[in-house]
Amino acid sequence: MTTSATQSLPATDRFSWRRIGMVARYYYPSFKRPLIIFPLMSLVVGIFTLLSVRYEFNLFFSGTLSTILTFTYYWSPVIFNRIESSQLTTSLPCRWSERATFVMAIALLGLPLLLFTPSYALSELGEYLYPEKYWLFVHTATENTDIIPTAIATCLKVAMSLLPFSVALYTIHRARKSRVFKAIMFSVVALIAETITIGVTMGLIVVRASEYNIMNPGHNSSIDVTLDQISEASLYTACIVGTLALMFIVLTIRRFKTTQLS
Amino acid sequence: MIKITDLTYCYNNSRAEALSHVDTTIGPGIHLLLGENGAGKTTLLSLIGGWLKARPATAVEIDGIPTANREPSVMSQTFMLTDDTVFPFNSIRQMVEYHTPFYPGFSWETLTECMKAFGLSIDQRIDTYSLGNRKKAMLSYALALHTDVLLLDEPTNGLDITSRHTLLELMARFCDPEQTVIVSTHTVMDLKNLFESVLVLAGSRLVLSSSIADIESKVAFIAANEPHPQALYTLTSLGRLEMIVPAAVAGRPSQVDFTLLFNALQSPSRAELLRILNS
Repeated sequence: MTTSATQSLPATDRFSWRRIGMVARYYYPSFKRPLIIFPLMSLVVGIFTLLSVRYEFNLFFSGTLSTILTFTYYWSPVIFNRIESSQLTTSLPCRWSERATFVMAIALLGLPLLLFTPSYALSELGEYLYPEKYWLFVHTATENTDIIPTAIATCLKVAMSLLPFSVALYTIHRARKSRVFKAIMFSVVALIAETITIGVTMGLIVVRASEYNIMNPGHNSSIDVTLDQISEASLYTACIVGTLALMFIVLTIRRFKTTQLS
Repeated sequence: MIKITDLTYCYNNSRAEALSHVDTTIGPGIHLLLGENGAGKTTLLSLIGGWLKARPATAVEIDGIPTANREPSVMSQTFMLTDDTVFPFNSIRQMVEYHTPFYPGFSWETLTECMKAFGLSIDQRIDTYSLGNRKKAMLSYALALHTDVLLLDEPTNGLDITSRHTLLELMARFCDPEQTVIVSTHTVMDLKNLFESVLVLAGSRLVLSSSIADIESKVAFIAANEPHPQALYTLTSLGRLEMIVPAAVAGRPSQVDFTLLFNALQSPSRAELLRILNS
């Protein structure tokens, strides 16, 4: 037998970062286009938001563009579809933990960075150039109104974005047929479930407050009570939704270990 | 060396055994895997190839390492090609660039020779190939990997007559003597001169695992117009009687007729034949 392949395979069955590099190279053709398209999309959204700041339609316009970007993030796991559809990927000579590490790094770090960094950078530029229009550049309304402490608001924002994303990611790795359609469909279901969760949680808290006439010493009015309830509901919601998102991420990681091909 | 020890396999939550108490050792060489539809051929190949996980893991081992664990050292020396294998890249050249680094035995010379023999281009997009040409490209790639274990499930499906002969020649030329190649096929005649041993599954059980030489030393395959009094199995085909008789009474050596052997092992009268073959 003549062997002309580069002898680059690590001579070990242990976890190998070098092999993760080989896995990254294996996945690269699937990511070539998203590597270009996603930052471009983000850049376009950021530019349009910046350029339209002087116009009255800006809020609607930038809101719509941001929503497109957000939904692109929710459904971005479909980029894994083609490569994960092949039996050759499941039987790739690497540890399941190496492949999981790579996919999770791309999913949880790479994709958000690609999709949001350019628009975020332009948002920061907009805040600097147009400080009087600062409120147009906030990423969520809650961050700028002191309704909810920033840490909780950030956790809520991350958890709420992560749930539909993690559901789509899991579906792509779990479904055998119609992966893309199912990923999109189930992530929409997750969004709806998320919204219902927020509503139910808020409702329960308000009902509890009304029943027991809860008013803390620092409260001067019913508005203060409402703000407190929103903050509390956000915390609970972030915990519930975040836990669910984490569960789907763990299930996805587990798929790398247990997938069988038949 | 592939070692299978009391292997029983059921698909998810199913009580029906896809494979039942399979025990055998498969050494280097080209082996034929026969069985009726649903006998468990693809399941067995999938378990050997690590596509399915055997329980316990030690039920299927390659060189002492369980395939269920999918260790990189085992998976880099095992390759399976089925009818519905999908290559995740656009061309064979991309496969070479992104997939072969995981397979240290890959040979560019073998790939180019095989592709040339089949009349194919390495740079052509796989999705522009016809079904048959796609199969040829994949077979070329599989042969070029030179893995210690090569599993081919219905490799001649979709191939024209000339290509089947080409495949026979390529396998004879490029399969190493140390390589273990298992071919599951219903079209046995295309590759019959290649096989050194045969495994036969019937009803999820492995009923026969024997070398061709051993089979030929124990039974003979004859055709006549009159039934043989000591025939172990008789099949009427177009007015002629095709029979399996003990080698001692045949009078002359004969080549294994896989079709006849397969039919005999599916019939109710296989017990006596198996007794002789397994003695």
